Amino acid sequence: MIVTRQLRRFGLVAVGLALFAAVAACGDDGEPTPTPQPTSPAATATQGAATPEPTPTVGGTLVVYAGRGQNLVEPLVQQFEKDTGIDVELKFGSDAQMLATLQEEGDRSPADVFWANTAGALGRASSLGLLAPLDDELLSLPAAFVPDSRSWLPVTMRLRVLAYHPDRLKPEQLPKSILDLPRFARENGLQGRIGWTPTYSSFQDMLAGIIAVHGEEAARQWLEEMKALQPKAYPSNPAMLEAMRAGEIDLASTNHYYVVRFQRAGYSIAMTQFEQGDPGNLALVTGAGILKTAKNVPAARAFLQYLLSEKAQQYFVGNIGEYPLIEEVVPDPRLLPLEQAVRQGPSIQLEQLPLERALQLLREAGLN
Amino acid sequence: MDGTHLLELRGIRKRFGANEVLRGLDLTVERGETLALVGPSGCGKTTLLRIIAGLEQPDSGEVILDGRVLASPRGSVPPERRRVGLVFQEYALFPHLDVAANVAFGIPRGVDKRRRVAELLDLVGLSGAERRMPHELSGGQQQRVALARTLAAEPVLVLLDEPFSNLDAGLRARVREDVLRILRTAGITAIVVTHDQKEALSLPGRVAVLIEGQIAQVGTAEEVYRRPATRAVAEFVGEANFLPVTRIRDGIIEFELGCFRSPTPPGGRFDVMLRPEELALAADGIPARVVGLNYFGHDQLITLALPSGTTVRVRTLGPGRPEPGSTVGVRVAGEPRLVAER
Amino acid sequence: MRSMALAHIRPRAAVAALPLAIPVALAAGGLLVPLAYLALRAFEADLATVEELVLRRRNAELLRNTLLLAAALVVTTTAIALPLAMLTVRTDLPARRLFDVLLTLPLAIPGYVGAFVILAATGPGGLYPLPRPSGFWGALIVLTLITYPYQYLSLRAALLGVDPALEESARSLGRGRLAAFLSVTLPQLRPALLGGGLLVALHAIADFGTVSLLRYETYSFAIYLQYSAAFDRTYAAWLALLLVALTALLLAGDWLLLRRLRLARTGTGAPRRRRPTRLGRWEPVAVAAAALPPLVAVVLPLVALLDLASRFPAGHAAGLREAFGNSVTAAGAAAAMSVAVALPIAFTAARARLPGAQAVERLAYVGYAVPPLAFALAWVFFTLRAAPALYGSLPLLVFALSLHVLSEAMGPVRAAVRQASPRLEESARTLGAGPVKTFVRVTLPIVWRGAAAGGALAFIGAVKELPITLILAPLDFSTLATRMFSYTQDAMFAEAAPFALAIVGLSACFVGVLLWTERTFSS
Repeated sequence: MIVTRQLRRFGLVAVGLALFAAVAACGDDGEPTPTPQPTSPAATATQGAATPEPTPTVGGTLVVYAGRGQNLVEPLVQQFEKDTGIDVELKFGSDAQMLATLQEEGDRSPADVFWANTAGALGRASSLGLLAPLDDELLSLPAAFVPDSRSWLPVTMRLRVLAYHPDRLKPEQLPKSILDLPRFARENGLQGRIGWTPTYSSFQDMLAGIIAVHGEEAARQWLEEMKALQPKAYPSNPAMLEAMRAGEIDLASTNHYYVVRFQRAGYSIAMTQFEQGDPGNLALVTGAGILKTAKNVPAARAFLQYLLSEKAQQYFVGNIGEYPLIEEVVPDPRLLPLEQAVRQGPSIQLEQLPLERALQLLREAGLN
Repeated sequence: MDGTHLLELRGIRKRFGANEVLRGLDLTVERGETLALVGPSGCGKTTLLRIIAGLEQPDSGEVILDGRVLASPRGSVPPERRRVGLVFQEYALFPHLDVAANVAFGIPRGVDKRRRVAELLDLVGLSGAERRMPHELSGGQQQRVALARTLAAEPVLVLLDEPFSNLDAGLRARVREDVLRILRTAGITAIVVTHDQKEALSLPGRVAVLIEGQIAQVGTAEEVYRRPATRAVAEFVGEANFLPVTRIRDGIIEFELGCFRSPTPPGGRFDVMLRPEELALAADGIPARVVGLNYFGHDQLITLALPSGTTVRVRTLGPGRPEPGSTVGVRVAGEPRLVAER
Repeated sequence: MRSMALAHIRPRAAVAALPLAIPVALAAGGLLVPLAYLALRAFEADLATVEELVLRRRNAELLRNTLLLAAALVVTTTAIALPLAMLTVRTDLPARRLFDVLLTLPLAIPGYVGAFVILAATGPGGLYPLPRPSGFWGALIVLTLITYPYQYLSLRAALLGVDPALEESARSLGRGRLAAFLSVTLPQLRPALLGGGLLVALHAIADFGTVSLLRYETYSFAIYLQYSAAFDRTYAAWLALLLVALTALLLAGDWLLLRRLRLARTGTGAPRRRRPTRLGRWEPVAVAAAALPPLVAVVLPLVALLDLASRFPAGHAAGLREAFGNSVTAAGAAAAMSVAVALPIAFTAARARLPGAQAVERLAYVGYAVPPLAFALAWVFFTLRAAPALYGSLPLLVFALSLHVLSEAMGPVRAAVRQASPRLEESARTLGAGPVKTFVRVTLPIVWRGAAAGGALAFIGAVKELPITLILAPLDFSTLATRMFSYTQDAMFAEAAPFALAIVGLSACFVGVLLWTERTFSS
C-alpha cells in the first residue's frame, strides 16, 4: 500500500532527522561524543534538576502543537518562556485536528512538541511513528501511567465519573459497576433519561476499557443494552451537562472536571464513582511527546520537564481541577488523594486500550 | 482608393452558430455624409454596426476606416482605438454618473473638459443639466446626452442604432430634426440604422438597404424608391405592385396594363413594378373589380382584381370611394419599370 | 483633428480575455486542490473497505437527513425572508434603515455559539421558559434563524432592482395587487430566490456545529466525527467526496434553472424608485413582525450568553485586542481577495468570453462544500510539497479562507454583474476607454454595490470560520473565533463572552457598511 511505503520512508527520514538533532544538541554541549544517544550525561546533569533553570545550552524557539485548550496552555507557556528564555510558538486545535495536521505535514512538520488532551491521540501519534522515544530521566518524573512505547510523557489525569441529577437520584442507589448501568436504568424507569457522548474520545476510551476488562462480547452487549434505553447523544460534555441541568436527562457518564466546573457555576449536578477498578472509573491521561521532526530537542525536553514541575502541576490542579502526576502538589479538597485516584480505574496499559475495536463496535452499532 | 471614402467594408461575413447574419457585405461611406442603413428586423443591421465599432469581430472581410485597416483576418483594432462612436438604441448612459460626467467620459486628454462639456451640452440644447442624473431625464434628453457624449470623444464616424425608436411618435420628428442638425453642425460622418423605411427615406443622405445579410442597394432615397434594385428592396421601401411580363418584342415590354420600352436586364426573372400612386382609376382603363379598400383620410388604397386574376393596389386622393364588388377602370399613370426577382 | 494613428492590431483571440483568465484560473486551480487531495486520501483504502464504508445503510440515513434539512430550510428561510424584504423595500415601515441592519444581523452569530447558548438558556431552569430545541425541528428552527438573512439580502437586492413599471403595467392590465406581484414581480425574483436558496441549502449541508449540538445527524456531522473522534481520514475522505457529489448535483440543478433566466435589464440601469406602499393601521403589526426575527436570533442569544457569563466565575479574557486585530486582518484580506476573484469569474460567466467560466462559477461553491477540515488539510499537504515557504504564513491562510468563502461573495457579485448591461461597457469602449479604464470607471461603480455586499458576506463568513484558521494560521496567531471556541469548549463562558460580542459587533459593522454603500449609490 502507498501509505505504508510513505510511512516507512517518512519514518526513516524522521529517525535520521531525530538522530541528527540529537547529535547537534550534544555538539552544542561541547561534548564531542559521536554516539547518537538521546540522553547524554552532560544534558542530564544540566537539565535534570526538579526546578528548571535557564541554561546556556537550551534556548531558541520551540514549536508546540497543542490539543489542549488555549486558555489553559497560554498562561503556563508564558511562565515557561519567562523561566527559561525559550521562545514558544503555539498552534491550537483539537487533538484530532493537530494529529491530522501532523500526519499531512509528515517529515516537513515544523512542530517540536505535541501536547494532547488524550492518551488515545498520543498512542495514535506513537503508532504512526510521529514521536521520538523519550529518555528514562523524563519518564521517571510522573508517578504513574508511563506508556509501554515510552514515546510520550503523562502529564495530568482525569477520571470518568457518573454524573446525576441530585433531585432525582440518590448516590446510594446508583450501580457499583458500569456494566450494571443498563439494568439499573431499566429498573428505575430511566429509559430516554440517560445522556452519553458516543462520539467523544473519553467515552470511546471508556468503551475500550470495558473491552479490555470484560471482553468484547460483554462490551457489545453493554452497548446494545444501552442503546435499547434510547439514550440521548451529545457532541460534547458541556452540552450534555447543560441538558442535565435543563432536566432532559438524569444520568450520564462524563469526565470529573466538567462536573467540577458546572458545580462551581452553581448548577445542581452531582457525581459519583463506581467501585474501585471498574472501567467506568477509567483514568484519562493527558500528555506530551517530542516529535521526530523536532529541530530543538533540548528545548522540547525542557518543556516536557517543565510540565511535570511542581509549578506547572500545581497550576493544573488549581486552575482546571485535574489530578497531578507528581506527589509534591498541594491537594485539592474536591479531589481524591492522588494515590487513591490512580487506583480508582482499572489497571490497564493505556496504549493497549483496544481503541480500534471500540470504534468498530460503535460503527457496528451505527453510533458513529 | 478614392480619397472621399471614409469607411469601406469588404466582404464582411458573420455567423452566430448556424445563423449566418452577414453574408459577404460590401459598403462604402463617403466623408461627411449621413447614411441611412435600413432593413427589416433581424437582417443584421445592429451586428454590422457592432462590427464597425469593434464590439464584434467579422468572421472574414475587412473594415477600413480613413485608410486604416480596423479589422481583417489578421486581427482587430480594439474599439477604444477606432475613433468610431456608437449611440446605442437604449442610450446606455452611465447610471452612476451625472450628465456632465457622462459627456466628459470620452473627452481626450489635454482638452479643457469643463469647457468642452458646456459646448456640447449647448450644442444639444441641454445647458444647465450638468448635475442631473440619467434617470431624471426624459427619453429625448437621454438621447441628446448620449449623442453629446459620443461627440465628445471626437470620433471620425458616428453610428446611431435605431436612435428614434424609443421615443414616442410626437417627439420623434423633433428629436430627429435636432439630431440631424447636431450632426450637420458637428460636420461628422454618420450611419443611422433604422428598421422604419419611411424614416430612412426622410433622412437627407443616401440610403443603404440591408436585406438577408447583404447590401441590396445604395442610393438616394428617390433612387431606392423609384428604381429598387430587387423585388425585396421594392417591397421593403414601400407598397409595390408586381405584374408579370406577358411578352418582350424589339425592346418593348408588354404586360397586362400596357407596354413600355426598356432594356432587358441580363438573366434572371423579372417583373413589371408600379407603385400604387402610379396607377389611377379611369373610366377608359382596363376593367377591374374592387376587392378591398383602405381609407386613410387624405388618401385611400384600393385593391383591384385584374381580368387575369392578378391583384393590384391603387392609391387615390380626394373623394370618390368605389363600392367593393363594383367594377372600375384602371390605367397606368406613372412610369413602369422592370425589377429583378432577386 | 488628430493625425492618423497607426493601426493597433491585436490577435483576435486575446482580446480582453487574459486579465480575466488569470484570477479565474487561480480560483479554479485553488478549488481543485482539495478535490484532488480528497481523491488521493479516499483511494488509499482497499476496495473491500471502501465498499463497506460507502454502501453502509447509515450513509443512506445521513443522506436522507441532510436532504430533508436542506429542503425544509430553503422553504422556511424563504417564508421568512420574502415578506420581510417586501416590508423593508416596498412599504413605509418606520426606521427601515435600522431594520435593514437588524434583520441582517443574525449572520453575525456563529451557528455553534447560537445553538449552544440557546440550549443553555432553555428548558426547565433555563433563562427562557421555552422547550429545548432538538432533533430535526430543533436544527431547522435554529438554522432558519441563523441563515434566513442570506435569502433576505438576496431578495432585498433583487426587489430594489425590479422595475416598478412592470408591476404597474400588470396592474393596468387588470391584475390585482397580489396577482400582479405573483405574475410579474415574483418571476423576476427567481434568480435571487435561487441564489439565496442555494446558499441556504449549502449551509444546511455544510453545517456540523449546529446540527451536532441539536443532535440531528447529517453528512457533515458524520465527517466531522470521522476526523475528530475516529481519526479516520480515509472514511472521512469518502464521506467528503459523497458530500461534494451531492453539492455538485444541487449546483447542476441550480444551473439548469438559472440558465433560462437572462434578466439583464435593457435600458439605463437606473430604474425609477417605487412609491412605498402605506402600511396605515397595519404599521404596529409590521413593526412587530420585522422585529421578531432579530429579537429571537440575536438579542435572546446575546442576553443568554451574558447570563451564562455572569454565572460562571470570571477569568480575564486574554488577548482580546490581539485577536481582534488578527481577525480583522485575516478576514478582511480574505474578503477582499474573494471579491477580487469573484468579479472576474462572474464576468466571464455572464458574458461567456472564456469557455468553462460558468463551470468555474459553479466550482466556487465547491470551496464551501468541501468540509473545512479536509479543505485545510489539503492545503497543508499541497503547500508543503509545492511551496513550503508559504506554509504557516498569513498569505496562505488568507488564500484558503478566501476560497472557502468565495461562494458567499459569489451570490451578490453574480447578481450585480448580471444586472449590469454589457451595453454600458461597450459604450465606454467606443468612447475611447480601454478595458482597464472601462472596468474601473464604468463596471466597478455599477457592480460596486454587489461587490460590497459580497465582501461583507465573505468577511462575516471568514471571521466566524474555525478549522481552516486553526490549522493554516501562522503560529501564535489567534483570532476572535479560535479563542472564543477554545473558551466555550472548556465551558469558560465568562471568558468567551467578550470574544463572541466582538465577533457580533464586527460583523454588525460590516452589515452597516454594506447597507450604507447601497444607500449612497441609489439615492
